[in-house]
Amino acid sequence: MKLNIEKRELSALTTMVYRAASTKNTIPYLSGLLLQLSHDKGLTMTATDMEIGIRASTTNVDVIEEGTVLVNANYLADFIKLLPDTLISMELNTSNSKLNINYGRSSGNINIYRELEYPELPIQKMDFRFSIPQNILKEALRKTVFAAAANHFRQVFTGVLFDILEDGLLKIVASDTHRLAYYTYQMDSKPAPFKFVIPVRTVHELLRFLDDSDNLINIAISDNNVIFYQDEFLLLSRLIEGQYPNYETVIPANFISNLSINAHTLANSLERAKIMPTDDRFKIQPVQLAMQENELLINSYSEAMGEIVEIIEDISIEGEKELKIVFNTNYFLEAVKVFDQECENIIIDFSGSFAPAVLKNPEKDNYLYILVPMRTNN
Amino acid sequence: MEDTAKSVQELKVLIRELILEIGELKERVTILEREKTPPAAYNEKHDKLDIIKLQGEGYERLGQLYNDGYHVCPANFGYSREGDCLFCLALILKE
Repeated sequence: MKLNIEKRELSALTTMVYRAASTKNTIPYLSGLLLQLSHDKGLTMTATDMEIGIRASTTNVDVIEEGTVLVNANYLADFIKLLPDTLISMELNTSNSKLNINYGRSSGNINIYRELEYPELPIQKMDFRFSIPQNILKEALRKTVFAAAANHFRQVFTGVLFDILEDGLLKIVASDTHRLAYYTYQMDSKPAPFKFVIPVRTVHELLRFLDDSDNLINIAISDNNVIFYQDEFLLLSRLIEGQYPNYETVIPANFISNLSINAHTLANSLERAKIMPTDDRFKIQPVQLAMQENELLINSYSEAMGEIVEIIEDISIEGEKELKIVFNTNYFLEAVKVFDQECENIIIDFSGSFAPAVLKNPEKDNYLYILVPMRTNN
Repeated sequence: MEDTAKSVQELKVLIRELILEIGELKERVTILEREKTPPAAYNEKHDKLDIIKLQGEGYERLGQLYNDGYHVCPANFGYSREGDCLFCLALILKE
């Protein structure tokens, strides 16, 4: 195997793929990055830890001699990233089983693994289901993934649900049971109804390469896996098993009041509230919202550190004018930041001090964030 | 295979009965504590329990279980919970 490639091209490809490799040493070849070089496909890189797998390729490479080589993914990625911005030459030396990397007058070499042991990605029996513009998928995942649980005894809560309904409506949902993010998109096509849940890690890997173009990305599934793919990129992920609970039931339908407030002002106020340290008796840091006739009081308190009381006057309230409610500051702020990126004002619908509240964009109805309040005696 | 499924089902029933029994025991402990606790402290605790509006006998039981710190939603039924759960509240607050 022998090739010449620009450092930027090589680094972009390596960075995209290497994170799928295993960081554990239990099965050495799973920590490897497979490089395949051919005249028709150019340079293809593959990495998998059997939970996710990423394959990407580039034709912006000068293929001198076809071949395949397996090297340690993390080491290669770190090394490539630090190389000077120049033409890189890579060549497999079969006599000493090393991959030589030449850059200018300097060079390095990396030991190779036996690539014969490397597993094939299980993508042969995938069933194509639908395509979706990249920018839509990116927006949907960005707005939902943070609501999924880091750990939960029900695995489905550690993932993001794709729910495709009969009329071609796609619902993307994530929840840790204390909050729920809900995004809908009407597809042009009408695939057969089905649903699946992908792990949070898969979502983060997808978000790393999705861009803001409306180029389509294809989605195909098998019994245990899903792939997201385009011409030169493929991401395979295992699916999370288990039935996702009926999320529609948690979306409140009746409200006693709604608050309209500038999203940026609220985000700034919550950022300040968030720096208040969490008291030992609370596991989480709370912030209290107290609506009065024409103003909103935002209060955060710490026995150890002090108190912040902020008053925001530029608000409007419909329905009951007075209400006190306490939220997990971080859960509240994460959602407000999402809205701050897309709308000037945010609407918060309340059903009471102890009932879930709904955050939404007054100009778009395709995204909701439902947040359960905290119960405190103060 | 059928026997195993039956045993699992019986075990699930037993677990639910135990959870209900624990709930009842906690209720009795609460009553005993109330007799020994100054009224102000009791009122504070009582207010907290009243937060969940209970409707009908079945919901009262669920509300009690929920207030005792267990999930009552189908996905997590019987597991102890940390903080409030949207899915449980949807069930309890349902009109």
